[in-house]
Order: sequence, then C-alpha cells, then structure tokens
Amino acid sequence: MLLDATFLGFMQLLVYAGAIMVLYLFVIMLINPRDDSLPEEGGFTEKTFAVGVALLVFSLLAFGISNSETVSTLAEAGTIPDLPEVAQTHGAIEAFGYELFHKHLLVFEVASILILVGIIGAVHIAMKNKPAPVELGANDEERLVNDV
Amino acid sequence: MMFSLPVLLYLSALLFSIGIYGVLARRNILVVLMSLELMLNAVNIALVGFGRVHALSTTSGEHSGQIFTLMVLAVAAAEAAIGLSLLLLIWRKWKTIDLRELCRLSG
Repeated sequence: MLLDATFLGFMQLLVYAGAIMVLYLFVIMLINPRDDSLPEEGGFTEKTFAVGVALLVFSLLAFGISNSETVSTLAEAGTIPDLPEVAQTHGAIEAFGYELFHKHLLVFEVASILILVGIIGAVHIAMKNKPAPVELGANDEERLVNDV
Repeated sequence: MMFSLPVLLYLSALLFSIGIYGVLARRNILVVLMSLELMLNAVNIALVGFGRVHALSTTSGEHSGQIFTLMVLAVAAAEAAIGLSLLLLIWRKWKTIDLRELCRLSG
C-alpha cells in the first residue's frame, strides 16, 4: 500500500471513524446546544493573531524541512514505496504484531494501562450521581440538616 | 501513487499549522479538541513517513515508527475521552461550551 502501513491505516480508520467520531457525535447529542448557546467567535484581532502564529509555525517547519540535509538525501534516493526495500509483508498485521509483541511489549502494556485509566477517569468525571466520598457520622448528619 | 518524504513532511506541517490555528482562534471547546486531534494526526503522518524511510537502518525494529504511531493513537483516544467528559461536566454546571468561561475556574 501507499506507505506500507496497511494495518496502521485500518487502525486509524477504526479508531477515528469508529470510536472518536462516535464519541464526539454522542457528546454533541447529549449537550444538544442551540445556536444561541454556541460561543461567540473571536474578532478580527484574535483571528489575525492565530493566523500569524500558525503561519510562523508553518514557515519554521517548512524552512527546517527544505534545509535539512537528511531529508534531501532521503528524497534523492527515491520515493517511499521503493525506499528502502523491505519485505512484501512490511506493515501487514502479522509482521506488525510480531514486532509489537516481541520488541515493544512493555510499551503496549503501558498504553493499555493508559487507556484503562482514561476510561475510568472519563466515567468518573462524567458520572451524574456521585456516591458520597466519606460516610457521614450521626453528628455530621444533624449538622447538615441544621445547615440546610 | 508514490510519495516522497518532503511532500509528507510538508503535508504534516500544514495540518499541524491548521491545528494550531484552530486551537488559538476558536472558542468552542469541541472545535478546540478536534484541532488537537488534527495536530496529533499531523505528527502521525511524519512518524509513519520517517519510520518507513528508516525501516532498515534502525536497530529498534522495522516497524518502530508505526508502533510509535499506534501509541500516539492510544494517547489521542484517551485524550478525547477525558476531554469530552470534562466538556460534559462543564456543560452540566454552567450550560456553556465557551472556553472563555473557563477563567471562572481560577476561583
């Protein structure tokens, strides 16, 4: 395929079209904002500033790319599917998975823990009726009732 | 179709700059989160391109660039989940998705 990243391409489709986009749509459905509850966008000054910063970053990156010796050496050697010559199965699920679970197993486990923490955190943050963090004693309850 | 490395890098830089513009100029939290995803994906393109070019010259394995990209994907998914749940919480409390309203958080 184009960049010899077949499996990664499918993962990208799966994660973005299947998970993240659905998550965004679900949140938009949940908050159901009307036109008047959308924030007022910034004026001319703010937009000019943002365009300026974006252009500055782009020109710095483009300057770096066009002046890099490494990039020009690699570009002279040829286009990406021919350079360097790798096995036909490069980027396919078997070769990718073999390397992931042999050489980079620890990183994989760390990523799974990160996602687990993310799920638990997201559920906890968005929970509607949170249980009380501590058990209240009898005196505390009396005090709470008096306060109300 | 063939890609040369500079084309990929310019594409990546362009996407990254668009993401920076979105983060700086917009006030809708949803759009800012989407721009963040765009910046992460710009980095992904550069990573896959460099990983492919250096596939045989690296000691950490042929696919190390793609595996790095997979980890960025995992971070992006976690970031989207946490960011959107925070957005939901802010909406329930203040009925707004305006970034400027978040200055109330300073107490």
